[in-house]
Amino acid sequence: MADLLPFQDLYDEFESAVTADVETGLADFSPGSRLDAYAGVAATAAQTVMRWISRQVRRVFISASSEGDLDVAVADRYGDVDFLQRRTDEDDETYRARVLEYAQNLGRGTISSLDYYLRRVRTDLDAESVLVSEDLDTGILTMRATALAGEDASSVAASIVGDLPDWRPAAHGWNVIIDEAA
Amino acid sequence: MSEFIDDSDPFQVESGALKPVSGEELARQRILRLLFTEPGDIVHRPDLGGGLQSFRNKPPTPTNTRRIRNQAARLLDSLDFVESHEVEVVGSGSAYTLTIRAVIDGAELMIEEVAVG
Repeated sequence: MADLLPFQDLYDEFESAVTADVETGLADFSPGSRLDAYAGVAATAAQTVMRWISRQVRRVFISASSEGDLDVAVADRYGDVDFLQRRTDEDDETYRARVLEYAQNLGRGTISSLDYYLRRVRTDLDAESVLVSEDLDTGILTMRATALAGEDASSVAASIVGDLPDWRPAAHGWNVIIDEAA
Repeated sequence: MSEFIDDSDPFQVESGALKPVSGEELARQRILRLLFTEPGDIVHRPDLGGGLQSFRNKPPTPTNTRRIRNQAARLLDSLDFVESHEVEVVGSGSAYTLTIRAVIDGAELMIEEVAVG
């Protein structure tokens, strides 16, 4: 997409093509003028056609590509051929997907179970416990909280874990770091 | 062939070429074009235009008359080549008549009795 000409370039192209022919004497491109309107229509139409052609080219390229072509396309777009790993679905059709080991057997086009779970955690977690990090590959959450004076660290940790949403994905775990009260 | 050429058409043909306008006529066309363009008419400038046609068949109440005058004055303010201007709107029946006096390059341009709607 980055190579498609922006609207203003197309507009300028129309304007320079018209004004280059000095014999026509057409030079009024003020906002709202007829030439301005024509240039806008021409630029919009050209941009639409370019996008359509680009979509068709991409569609044909992907549907007709070999494995090597896709490797080149992935490396070209993402800078790393391993960014989208080669996978095979239940119909033995090869496709590419990002590295989401924890996603396991989720179908394409859905969010992963852990992603859903993390959203719930961020929404539901008690304010006193803080989500420090999340390891997307292993599904481990790390949380940190401060125990109040006289509070037992293990009971604080159990309380935080108890606040996690009931439903949890299969490959999933957590660490809770408890800081002693000052 | 000449009898088929509409003198009011700014794209009228002269000796096989388009006839451009300049000076006072260009300013007059720019002003009227801005006033009577409906917002959205120009695909890449959806907010451009005064939309005075929308007052067609609206009763010439003092409110409508004032709205037309204010709208026209606001649009004339936005034109950098207009140094000063006066707008007069007269409503009768279901139509309005617009008269504009504008100063452009030190000279007064009078646009008389333009029907709205």
